Amino acid sequence: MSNMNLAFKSKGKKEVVLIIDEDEKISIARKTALLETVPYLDVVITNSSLDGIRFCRDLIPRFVIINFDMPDINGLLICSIVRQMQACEQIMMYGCYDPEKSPLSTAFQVGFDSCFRKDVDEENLIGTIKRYYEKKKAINGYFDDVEKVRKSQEQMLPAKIDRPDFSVDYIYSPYKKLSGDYIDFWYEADRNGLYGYIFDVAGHDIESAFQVSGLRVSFRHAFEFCSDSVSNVLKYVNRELFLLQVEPTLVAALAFRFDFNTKQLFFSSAGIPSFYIVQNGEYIEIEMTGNLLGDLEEVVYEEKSILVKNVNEIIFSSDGFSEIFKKTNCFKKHDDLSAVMVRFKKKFD
Amino acid sequence: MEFVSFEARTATVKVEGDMDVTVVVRIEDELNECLDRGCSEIVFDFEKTTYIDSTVISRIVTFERKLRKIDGKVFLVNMAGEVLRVLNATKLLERMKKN
Repeated sequence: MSNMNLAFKSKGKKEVVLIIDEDEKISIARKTALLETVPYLDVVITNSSLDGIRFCRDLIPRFVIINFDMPDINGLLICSIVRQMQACEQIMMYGCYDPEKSPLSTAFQVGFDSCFRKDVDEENLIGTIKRYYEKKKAINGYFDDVEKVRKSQEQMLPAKIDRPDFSVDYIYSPYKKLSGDYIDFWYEADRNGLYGYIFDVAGHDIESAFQVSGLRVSFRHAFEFCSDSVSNVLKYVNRELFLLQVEPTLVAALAFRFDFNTKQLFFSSAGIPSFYIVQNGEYIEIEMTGNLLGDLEEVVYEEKSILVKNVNEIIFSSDGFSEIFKKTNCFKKHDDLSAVMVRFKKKFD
Repeated sequence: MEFVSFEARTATVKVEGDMDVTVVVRIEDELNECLDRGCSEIVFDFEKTTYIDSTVISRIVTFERKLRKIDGKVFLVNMAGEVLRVLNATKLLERMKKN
């Protein structure tokens, strides 16, 4: 038997398709057809069963197409041997059979994923591999999109503030790659005030990420028009949600304003349960209530204020952060985590 | 159904432990199946639930909106701890509490 190992070394990260068939003409025709449909593959062909097994071990192909009726070791046995190699469990094994010679009954038992009739199913075989790569391409495209959106979300985050009398820092940790949370804050020197908000859209997918972008714009507009009242900021965003959506997205949010002249913190909540004040090392929870944004159209949000005296830090957070913050035995996060930490470098008396 | 029982047009949702994004899709499917079978009342029974996240809150309101169209209702019962805190904070309990 002439050794027809027309094996090409695998280049780079190209995926390999291995064809084990005694008939050189069939192998070459199959290779040509495969490369016409999926040009970025490495197609390796061999007419030797032993070499086929060796290639499976060394190249770990994505697909192996085996002729059942190999003259030295038959295709069923090749499949069975390859399946017992630990690294080869994930290989897709396709068998080509002649219905007059080889019964199908044991093919699936030894580990074939699919079988094709030699005489009539050649197009199906190539089409199946083509569809696999089309699907794979689509899935990879989705992950590329997720990565782009993730980067874009990170770029939207605010710059940290570090001033002589206070600093503002944040924690931002998406549940998976994308976040339904967003935080923003800024200092306005002419008003000597710190402004900010935090919100949490249900979900952590691409749709949530787009909603985050839209809400960010709404909040910025709201602060432009209603900067003296954080409850009106929430009312403005809520109204926008009802104007833009028939069944609005639900959003938990909190808006705040700290007036450095009067030392007063103004805050309003749309479903974020609390925030924390750190005073002499002690965490004091300030509880709040308020309808979620997008829940009811005509809602008045309550605005409260507290005088900030002898305070080291104020921590505003999404519900995911609050949850782990309160549990000392919590080792996994369930949600996006975000928090804004305002640290006072000198205490107000 | 794994999380929802359905009897006399009332679907009751019960989840033990964490009720979050990992189970919410299955609950949603089961509740939609109940709606197809004529459900007009959904009861979220949180007796054994220790945590709910924003996706759960979102689905509670979504189903409230769906049921409102057929004069149905959503009720929240047996809350405690963190679950009670979140449902209070969002004011959902105010309008969905079963008397």
